[in-house]
Amino acid sequence: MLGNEHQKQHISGQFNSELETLKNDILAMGGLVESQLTLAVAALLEKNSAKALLVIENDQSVNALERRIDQECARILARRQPAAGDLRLVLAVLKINLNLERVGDEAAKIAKQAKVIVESNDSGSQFVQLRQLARPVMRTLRQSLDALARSDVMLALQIVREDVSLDTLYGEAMRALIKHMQANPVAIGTVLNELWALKALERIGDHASNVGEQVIYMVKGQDVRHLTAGEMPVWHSE
Amino acid sequence: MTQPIIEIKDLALSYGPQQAVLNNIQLSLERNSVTAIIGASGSGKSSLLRCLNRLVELTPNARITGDIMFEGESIFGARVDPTILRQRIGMVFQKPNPFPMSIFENVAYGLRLAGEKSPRVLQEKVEQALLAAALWDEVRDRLDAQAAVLSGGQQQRLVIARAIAVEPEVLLLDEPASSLDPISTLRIEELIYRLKQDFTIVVVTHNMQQAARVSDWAAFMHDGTIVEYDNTTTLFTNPREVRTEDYITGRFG
Ligand SMILES: Nc1ncnc2c1ncn2[C@@H]1O[C@H](COP(=O)(O)OP(=O)(O)OP(=O)(O)O)[C@@H](O)[C@H]1O
Ligand SMILES: [Mg+2]
Repeated sequence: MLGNEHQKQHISGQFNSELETLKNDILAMGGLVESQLTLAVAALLEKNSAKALLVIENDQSVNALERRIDQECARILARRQPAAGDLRLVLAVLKINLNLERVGDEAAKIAKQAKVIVESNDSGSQFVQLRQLARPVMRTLRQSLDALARSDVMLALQIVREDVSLDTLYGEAMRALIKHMQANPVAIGTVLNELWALKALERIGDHASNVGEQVIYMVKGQDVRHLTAGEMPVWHSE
Repeated sequence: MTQPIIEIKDLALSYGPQQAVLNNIQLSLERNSVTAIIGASGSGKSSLLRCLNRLVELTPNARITGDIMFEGESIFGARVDPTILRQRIGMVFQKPNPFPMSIFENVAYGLRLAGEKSPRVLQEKVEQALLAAALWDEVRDRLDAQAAVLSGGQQQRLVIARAIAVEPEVLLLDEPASSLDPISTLRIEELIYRLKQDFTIVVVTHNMQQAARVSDWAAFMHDGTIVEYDNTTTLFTNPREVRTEDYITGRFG
């Protein structure tokens, strides 16, 4: 369950329901940006501009939900002055919200690149590198949302640890694309668009990792940002 | 923590044959810091304060076991004079209790009790204490008026002035801002913040936000024991004990 390890109710039923709404909304936000990403990647790989347009349109809803979640957090902070686990929940949700909105932005960027590529009529590329990066990035985002939904620290920790391997994959893909571009100067336009999409995927991986860090803070109260692998705390699954 | 100013060891207290109201209390107070004690009504907060200056001994049948070290010496030692101890460890009670005398005499009371006779010294120390308690500006023109005419918030600051006039080393404040409006409450909190430069302060409060605002260290009491004691930020963001979490977040215990 998102939030507290123990599930006692607040004496204030109203406060209880405010926290429940907040938890539901941040999970809904996660679901929304995840489907945006899936749709954007499909638009790109299938060269489907209708899907791309849908992603660009939906970005409005992502922004609206981001604003609503921020307002809920501000209201709880001002009116309830939450402490301990409740405070960490609100602080974590604020940051997770920000990161998820950025995931939405990056998905919209991918959709825009997809649109440009489709319109340029350059059907040469098979998107080998994009495919290679898209799959693990989408999996990582999914895992970070699972970790959030279940307050799963072990999973969150794994995501944070594995962020380096996504970065490595990105570096390799980028070098391969640049090589491809040098060998085929006519494809420069499309490859540049692919590079932008690739960069967007890499950013999404970073945001997913940030969500993982916030899940750890929310549950354990520990700030694991900017720690090296060796400095990471060790917890045992319960 | 450097050498604590007060160290409570295995303290237990009962007010008679009934079960103990304090049990197995261990607590070290850091010099020039503010320690907040929070906990539900009846958990023993006031009783703990009253042990620190041996005021509890004035309650018939009160029985204390364990020890309290103050500056490295037991406060229960044979050579300790409780009256002098209470000067060094001053206390402000849960309800403001100005004496039925003038504002001036209220603050001068402890000084006279300690043998101070010089009108000049009395005048000077009363003024200093009222200044420190942030009350001077409001009463300087009416020091001879009865203390009872002051507002609740002013009375609360008056009893604080009375406590600090004798220059104690430790100041025990029991709910110093209960029944005050938000502005007076903030004044008291600001006062606590300034006073810790000169004193070590222990403050009991039912107001969790107040404890979070004013204290450096916080102890959560439940049923006569200290459940958790930590620096205030940790206690309010990441308490170790579920009972603390439940209390400060307002959950069913
Ligand atoms: N003089 C006394 N004689 C007998 N029992 C007492 C006496 N004073 C307090 N008690 C009991 O000791 C327990 C702790 O009381 P205490 O006043 O220390 O609690 P508290 O935490 O300060 O509560 P509050 O927040 O309501 O001020 C209570 O059960 C109370 O009934
Ligand atoms: Mg009390």
